[in-house]
Amino acid sequence: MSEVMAIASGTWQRILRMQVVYFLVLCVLILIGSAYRYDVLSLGMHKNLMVDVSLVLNSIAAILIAVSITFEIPREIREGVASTLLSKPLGRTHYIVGKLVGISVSGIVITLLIALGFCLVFSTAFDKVGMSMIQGHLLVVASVIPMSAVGVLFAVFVPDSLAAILTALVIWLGHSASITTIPVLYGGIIPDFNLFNLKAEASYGYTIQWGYVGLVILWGISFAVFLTSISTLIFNKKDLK
Amino acid sequence: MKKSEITHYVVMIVALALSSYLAQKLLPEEMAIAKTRKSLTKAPMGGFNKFSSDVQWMLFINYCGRQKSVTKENADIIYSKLNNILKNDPDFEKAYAIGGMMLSVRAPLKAYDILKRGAENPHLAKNSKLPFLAGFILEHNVKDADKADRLQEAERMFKMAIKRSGSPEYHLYSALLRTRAQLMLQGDKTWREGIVLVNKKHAYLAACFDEWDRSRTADGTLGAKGAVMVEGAVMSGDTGAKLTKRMLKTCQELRKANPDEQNVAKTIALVMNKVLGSSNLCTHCLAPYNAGDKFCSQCGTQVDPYGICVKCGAVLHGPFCSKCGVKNEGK
Repeated sequence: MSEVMAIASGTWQRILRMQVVYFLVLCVLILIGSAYRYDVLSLGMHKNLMVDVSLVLNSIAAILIAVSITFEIPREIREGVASTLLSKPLGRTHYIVGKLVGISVSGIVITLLIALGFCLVFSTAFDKVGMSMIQGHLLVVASVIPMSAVGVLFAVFVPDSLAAILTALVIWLGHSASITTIPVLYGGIIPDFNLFNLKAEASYGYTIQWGYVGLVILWGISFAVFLTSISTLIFNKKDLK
Repeated sequence: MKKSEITHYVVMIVALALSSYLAQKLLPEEMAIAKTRKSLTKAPMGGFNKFSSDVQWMLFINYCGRQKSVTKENADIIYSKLNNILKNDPDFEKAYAIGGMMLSVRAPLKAYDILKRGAENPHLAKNSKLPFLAGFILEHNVKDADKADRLQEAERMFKMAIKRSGSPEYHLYSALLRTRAQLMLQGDKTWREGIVLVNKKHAYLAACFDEWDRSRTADGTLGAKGAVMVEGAVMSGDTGAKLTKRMLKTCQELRKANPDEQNVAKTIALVMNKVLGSSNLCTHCLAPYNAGDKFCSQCGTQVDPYGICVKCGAVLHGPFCSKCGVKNEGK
């Protein structure tokens, strides 16, 4: 466990130490706040617009973080960092799990920062933040876990650029409605990221049960475990220089 | 096979089964929260449908701002833009209301289509404005051959609006009665007691009378404070009084416009007898007259005076005559 945490902390510390991350978070918050000025242009829909913009930008941040891992693992393999790490008493499974945990923690911290910033901006501009808005953001934050797992999966067996494209494609299609209703395939092999997508419902303030939020997070974790176990199987058979 | 590999496979299978089970369990819950998700566009929007709808909405406002008015030419473009917005966000209440109103004159059927979709949206099930507007456009603006079907649909929309409105306003009720009147003119036009309805106003009076008859309690009066029950909703307190007033006004107009029409006369007599029985109205023009009047101030017809002293004929202001002091009972 400590080996996993060592790799994970290395990953999240590297990302969270980058000042550009906080600059981008600030830009996102400025963009969210600017929705307040769209009252005339949106014919009084600026309140809903602000909620929706915040959820969209938070989702984009989550996707970008998930995609970023597809560059990190191949780079470490290419530069021999992975081989150096694996020469220590570390299993390949530890390395992959550590990477997933690290990128997930980074993603959760960044998306949480955006969500908290939105709450501050919204409560300043309008009134108190509704529960459904918080739940909507919480689902976006939780979506980082399975999306990062998709990134890790592609990162272990395809070149970085292709892995990034494939990850983005799977995330995009996974958000585009339920592709199939065949058990095992749906939600098991084929992801349904739309489960995390309650942007419209959050911006309209519809009631979302906490039970649903909890189960979706559980689904995200279990899907991430499934993908990570495939990733480690592939990575264990990979010939590293 | 190594032990670690077996563990991997076991974890993988368990995780696959669990995620598949959870996804199957979550799908109906997701649909219960996002009731209109199935009607979203099939285009892969990556979960950004609402954002796409917001952007399209602002472009739509921008487009409409550049138009001088809604014409037959740009009505199609407006309709198409609205459809694109609503395909990405079927819960966009404002788009239904504003879009429907914009198209209501130049393309009323398209306006009705937009408003009807809004009215039937499960997330907007409490909105009474959308069905009212849909019914109004169908009843008022659409002119077509399939009149009965259209009017029945308008009636359905008005009923929906009344049911949804917690305390329905009189205009909802009035619109429903107007539509029912138009429906009564379809077919053989025969109303109760063999009366043939001759025009819209006559049918409207008949519809009002039917509604009054349906709403009154066993003792022949309307509910508490004149309240009227329509489609399960209690209309605001003075609706009964408004209905009676409207019937009187319609009777007066009908009498003036159709003085010799027997069907009209029979209907007025029925309304006078059952609804306006205790009112003091001129038998000729149906205008109300005051205590002590011997002739109608509107048409000069001799009327049956009331509220006068049996002894001296002075107008009474209470139980005793202020001129001669005689007690007048029941006058």
